[in-house]
Amino acid sequence: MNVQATSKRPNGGRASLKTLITVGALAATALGWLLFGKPDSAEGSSTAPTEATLPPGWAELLAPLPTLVPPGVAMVGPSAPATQPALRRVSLPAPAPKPVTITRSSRRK
Amino acid sequence: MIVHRFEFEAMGSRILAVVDGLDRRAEARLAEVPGWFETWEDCLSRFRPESELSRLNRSAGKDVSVSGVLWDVLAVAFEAAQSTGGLVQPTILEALQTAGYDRTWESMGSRVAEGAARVAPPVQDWRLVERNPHTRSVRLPAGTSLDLGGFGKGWAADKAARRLGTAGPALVDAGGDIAVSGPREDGQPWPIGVADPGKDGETIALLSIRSGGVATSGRDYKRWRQGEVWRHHLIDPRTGQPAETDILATTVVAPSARAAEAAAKAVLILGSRDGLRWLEAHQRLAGLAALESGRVVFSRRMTSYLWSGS
Repeated sequence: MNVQATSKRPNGGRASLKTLITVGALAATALGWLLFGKPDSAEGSSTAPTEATLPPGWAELLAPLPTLVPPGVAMVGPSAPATQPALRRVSLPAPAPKPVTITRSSRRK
Repeated sequence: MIVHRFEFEAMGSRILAVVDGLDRRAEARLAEVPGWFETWEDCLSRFRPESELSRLNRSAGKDVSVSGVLWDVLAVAFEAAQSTGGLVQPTILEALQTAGYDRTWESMGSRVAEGAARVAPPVQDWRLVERNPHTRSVRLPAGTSLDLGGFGKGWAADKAARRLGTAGPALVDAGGDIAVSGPREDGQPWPIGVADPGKDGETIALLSIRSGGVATSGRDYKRWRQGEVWRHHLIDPRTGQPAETDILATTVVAPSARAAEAAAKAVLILGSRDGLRWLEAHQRLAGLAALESGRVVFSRRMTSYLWSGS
């Protein structure tokens, strides 16, 4: 009996702790929904983050990431760039050709 | 791709004729070129006693009927005199001989003229030479004799390039006076190097020429000692002496080889400062000058003829 009573005591404390954590998590979740689940307030609200309030460069960082699209498949949707990238013709300077002849002051050789 | 090419010696110079393309007539046409030059040299050489020019020079004071070739080259020479204000003219033979260039360059092997340096008599006024187009005759004033060396080479390059052009795009180089009939078979310009007068075997520019002519005039090669004085073959008619100039060699691009040849001589005689000014004043000319100091100066329009990256 003593053995059983002794063995049940820690189990009861662990269950209470689990219950406490569960209740706490639910409460935090409910509070979160209450706080952030409301629709955005009217324009000019100090709590609504806008692009103007973000540090420079953050808007680009938070923009949707582009998805790789196989060649030949047209992209649709907001992530499609306005102009499709195209291969650019790059002209490297051609090596100077060998002269056909050389002009010099008149001579036999 | 150059398919046909022919090289030989004439007029005291190396001659190169090229036809670009696959036209089978080109080989036959190129084989005719040495004959053309021989005919022209036989007419225009001052070193051949029986040439038509030598006979004309011996007939000063008389009306002499001349061939179409001599008539045409005389026209080129007088046009050059007109366009250069007399800086380049054919009546300098006596001055040239007085400076020591009185035989072929090959026979001046020692590069030393006989005797001490001599003062040339004044160059005769080219405007005193009478030409009658109706009878195609010429009368030289007494004491006047003509040298048509440079004029003849420029004219010959133009003439040969035009003739060869019937068999394909053609280039003719007559001792540095170069004429091209038009762009190459693939539409590209002809790449033509400009020799460095200070370093044998090197070039100072690569030109891109679609049509017209290029010529170089220089005192870097044909020069000799007369007494204690160094002489060269480019006579300044204002002094009757070899030109005193800071230019070692100059190259001009023009609508024809004959125009380029005359302009190059004028620039060299004027020197770099006045020569470049003179070039800038002529819309259809462009050029560069390699100076004795080693510098190379360009007229503004010349940059459009430089091959990209050169």
